[in-house]
Amino acid sequence: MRTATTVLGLWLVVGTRAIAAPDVPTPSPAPAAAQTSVAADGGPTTAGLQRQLDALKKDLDAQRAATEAALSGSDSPEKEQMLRLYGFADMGLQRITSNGSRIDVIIPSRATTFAVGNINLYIDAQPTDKWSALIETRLTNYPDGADQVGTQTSPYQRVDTTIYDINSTTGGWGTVKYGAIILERAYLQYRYNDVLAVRMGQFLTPFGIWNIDHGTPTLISLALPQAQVIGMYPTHQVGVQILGSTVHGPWELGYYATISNGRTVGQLDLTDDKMTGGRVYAQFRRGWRGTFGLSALAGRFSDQNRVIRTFLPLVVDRTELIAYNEQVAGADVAIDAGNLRLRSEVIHRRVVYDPGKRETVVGAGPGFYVPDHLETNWYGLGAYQLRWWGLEPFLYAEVLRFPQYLGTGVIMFAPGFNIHFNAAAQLKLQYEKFFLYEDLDHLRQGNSAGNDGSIYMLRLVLAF
Amino acid sequence: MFSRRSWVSAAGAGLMLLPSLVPMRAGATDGGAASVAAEADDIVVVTHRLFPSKAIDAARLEAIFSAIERSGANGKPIIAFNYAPEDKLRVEFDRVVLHMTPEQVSRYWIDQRIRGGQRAPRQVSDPVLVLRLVGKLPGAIGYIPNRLVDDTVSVVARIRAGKVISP
Repeated sequence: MRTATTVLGLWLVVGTRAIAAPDVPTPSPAPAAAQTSVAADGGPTTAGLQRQLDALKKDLDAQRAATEAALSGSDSPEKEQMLRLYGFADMGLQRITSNGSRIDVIIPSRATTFAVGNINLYIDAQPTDKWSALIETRLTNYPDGADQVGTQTSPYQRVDTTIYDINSTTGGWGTVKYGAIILERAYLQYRYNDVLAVRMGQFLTPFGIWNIDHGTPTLISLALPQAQVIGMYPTHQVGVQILGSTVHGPWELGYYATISNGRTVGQLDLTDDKMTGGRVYAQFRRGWRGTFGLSALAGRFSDQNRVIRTFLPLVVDRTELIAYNEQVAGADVAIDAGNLRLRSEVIHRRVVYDPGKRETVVGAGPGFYVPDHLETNWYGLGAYQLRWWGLEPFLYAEVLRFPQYLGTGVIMFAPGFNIHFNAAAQLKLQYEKFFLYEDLDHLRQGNSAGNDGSIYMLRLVLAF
Repeated sequence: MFSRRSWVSAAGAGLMLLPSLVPMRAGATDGGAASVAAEADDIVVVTHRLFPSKAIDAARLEAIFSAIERSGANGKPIIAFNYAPEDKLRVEFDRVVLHMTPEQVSRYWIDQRIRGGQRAPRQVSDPVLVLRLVGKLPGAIGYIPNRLVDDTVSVVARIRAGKVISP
């Protein structure tokens, strides 16, 4: 009995400790600095010294980080990048054929020619985390070579910017051609938070996909939608823009709102009427990205002249020559799913002229005026990047209904492919075939014979 | 044949053997060790201790490191820290959080610059520096290996086995 009691007691002690012992993870090694290895002679070993050195290095890194944090301050953590310069450029080759069609009116050359495309430089300043400025310039050789087709009553004209280089050390007999700087945008921005930022200055009109993507490195196709080419909406505006977005799970909801001078013939607005507009979009992100947007603009265009009617007394007449009201609306969708990219937009514009203040039809001679009209443009673009050599074939299709003397509409097909050498450099090739129709509303009856053309384009593009 | 004493002794011996048959911790299997090892391999997303959010989900992480969300709930700027594009930690983070390869990430930031939009998160050279900076700058967020975490920062998310999980 006594033996059993002893056995039972031992079990209670040993067994209970075994069951109740917590699952203690293997303790991590003690910090290196706390370990000192002592050699046989009492001094530290090499390993011990190395551990102390590593610990000191870690402390030094921490001190540097603390110093950097203190110097950088909480208001402007990117002080060393207050001003950034970057941009993109594209150069290449092109050929436009007109098959003797009316397109010859606007094509300066039907030969294969090398071309300097875009050279865009950005000056991006952010002196504080809330204030910033962005200036984008495009360097060009224009207006050199800009021409105006002649008629039976007016001669052919071409701009030649050749001048003598009189500042040259060669005696001033050499010549140079001067170019120009196109200001793409220049605005100051105050960013209150994600939901509200305010921009003032010249900005790209926030309409659809293309005008926001803007540059050749970002755009998939070389061919531009005709809505941009013919200016269904003003691609640049001077005024005030507010913008912002908010994130809810995988959704980003954003907006732009603008008030501006709208379309102007010069640098200033000639009337108090302002163009208003905006864009709202919803973007979904979960592995793939989809963006759905709606855009709209409304405004009044006015062209005036100023003439001194009399000197005594001094009377100046301001006469409005052209005036119209316009409304533009568009919807767009962009999908990025793995290697697949899809883009599509539809844009609709309504133009109503003031009585007696119509524009004349370009190239049609006197007495031909543009009627009130509707314009509609749709395009679709699909691209897929293959696994080999950075190849990205794509297909572009477009329909434009725009009544003018070349026809009421254009249908276009433009296959091509991009070769992405890396994220910054790519080669873009595209063939564009377009058909002009006399009567797009009755396509089968429309006569496109001769009213078509082709464009072959190649551009080497670099973002830097 | 067997006395009462013998029976009691045998029962006692059997009872002594019983604890060795019971697992040391209920439910403990070899997965316990694997779980600890997995946690050790985690990438942890850390913020300054005064950061307004104590947990950040995958969608919000993506928004922050895509520079879509740049302000916190308190209106203060979020300062995100990243590594060089070829850094292994960044490659894994971009793959899991942004769902992008390194080339896609590079192209994304080029597109953002061309559009005239956001700046990329600031690049830092190594995780120790990220840890110190995040600990010092209010509004700062970064990601580091789990083994470097200390009490100077808050853990708001973890990346484990290719997924973003709660801290």
